[in-house]
Amino acid sequence: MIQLEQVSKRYADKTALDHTSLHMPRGAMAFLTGHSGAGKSTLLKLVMLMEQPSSGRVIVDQQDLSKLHGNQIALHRRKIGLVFQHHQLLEDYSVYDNIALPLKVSGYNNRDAGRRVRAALDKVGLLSKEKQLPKVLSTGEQQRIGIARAIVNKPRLILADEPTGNLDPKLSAEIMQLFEQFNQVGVTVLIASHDLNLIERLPHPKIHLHQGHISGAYAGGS
Amino acid sequence: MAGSEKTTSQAQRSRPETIGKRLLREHYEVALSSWLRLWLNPVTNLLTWLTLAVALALPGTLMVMLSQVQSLATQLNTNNHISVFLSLETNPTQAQTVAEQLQQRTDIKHITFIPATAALQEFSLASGLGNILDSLTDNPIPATILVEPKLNAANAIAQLAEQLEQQEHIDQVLIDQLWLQRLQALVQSSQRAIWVLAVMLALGVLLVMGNTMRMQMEKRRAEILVIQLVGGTNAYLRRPFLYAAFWTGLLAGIIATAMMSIALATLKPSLTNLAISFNSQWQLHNLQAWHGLLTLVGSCCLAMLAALLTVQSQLRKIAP
Repeated sequence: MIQLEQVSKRYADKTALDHTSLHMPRGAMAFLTGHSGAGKSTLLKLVMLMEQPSSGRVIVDQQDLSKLHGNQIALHRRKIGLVFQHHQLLEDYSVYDNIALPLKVSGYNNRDAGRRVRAALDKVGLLSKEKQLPKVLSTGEQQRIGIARAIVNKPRLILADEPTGNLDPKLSAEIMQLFEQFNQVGVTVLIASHDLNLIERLPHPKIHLHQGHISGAYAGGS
Repeated sequence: MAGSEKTTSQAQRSRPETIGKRLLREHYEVALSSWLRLWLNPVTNLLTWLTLAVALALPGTLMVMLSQVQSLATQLNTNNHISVFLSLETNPTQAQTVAEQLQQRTDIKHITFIPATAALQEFSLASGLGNILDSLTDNPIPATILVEPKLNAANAIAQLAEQLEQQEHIDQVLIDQLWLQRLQALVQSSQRAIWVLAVMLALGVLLVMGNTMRMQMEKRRAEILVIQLVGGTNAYLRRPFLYAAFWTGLLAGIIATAMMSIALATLKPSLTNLAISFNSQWQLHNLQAWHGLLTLVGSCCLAMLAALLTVQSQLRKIAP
């Protein structure tokens, strides 16, 4: 599902990824670990096409990302559900409108969007909150709304960047359970996290990033 | 997602929208929401509309007025006159004789004879100095003959004027064409000045509109970023701002049209009086429907052009 071939990403002052390769199969669920600044965010940005690699190829869902331009980039992003550490919900949008945003962007009409939004809200257990504004919800609820927005478009791939960064252990475990449920229906899930206590207890492969090099599960692009 | 199979089958059962229908619905929704958004900050927006309206109405009013003065100038140009003033000592019988002589000339098409008494009467009415003029023993206004030459060429008219000046009892000969030539030159240079003004103000409209758009996008930066990350195309991101610009242009255009018609209606009486003092039937026309329509179209186009340029460069800056 995610394939990196000898990918490097250099910024003016540092090298985030250094000729590194990865091959994460479809339907897998894995953790991406490493210190902050090890290149976790860079890897996610490359997959989201928020950045272009300095060299090498990034292939997502059999699509070479370097060949995508203009609207194709937008269409590529629609296939991916993104969960942020700081949930990135829009304050002046209701919970419903926040979750409906990816559907609006894809041209869904209100009736179909409504069905999908409610299904996603049901999935994260917040069906009763659809009319509220995000700021009146707890941190854990806000994160679940962020997850509902990521899954509403039924993506084949979910990327999560420190999704439990602001949560206590009990809420973190709940969030991870949600990701596991999505994975069970065939969605590929990649979670960047340095919450080692939590991920050590979960039986999923770990991809390690250290000084721009990938080791551990799926490393090397076999 | 696991529990949403039911939802999928329902969605599949509902009739799929055609692309045309979907685009129409999306445009309608965006047009409506950007219209409603305009009224969230009515005071700020009203100031923008007024600024744009003034920038549009000023050159607009001047252009409408100028085009009418221009038509007057060309209309007057078609009948050149020579004013022949007889000397004050000429008695009415002599004056009448001179008038008859002029009428018989082959190079003169038509004359209008204004006897000294009639000229005095006209002047006292127009100037409001009736009492003072009544108290005079002698008439200070000479008898006048307005001469319309057969030929319109400038040198033919000048030659005729020269010949008339030699004639007995004629004190002064004025070619009315001179001030017409000056008027035309004035109209032409005013026209250029107004175009320069219009271009500068159009640039002002672009800048004001561009700045408004930039501020609106800055305010909605978080929203733009999230929309980009969930796969919104640039066209999707541009749309609300283009509609906002369209509405702003339309409202500014309506205000500008109102300003222009008020300005013209206010100027009309004094300009009509001025025209009467030149013995002219000319009067300022009110704003025509097509002037208003042109203002609206121009205003909308300028606003949308500004939005297009700004949004395009801002989107590149906000890209995640």
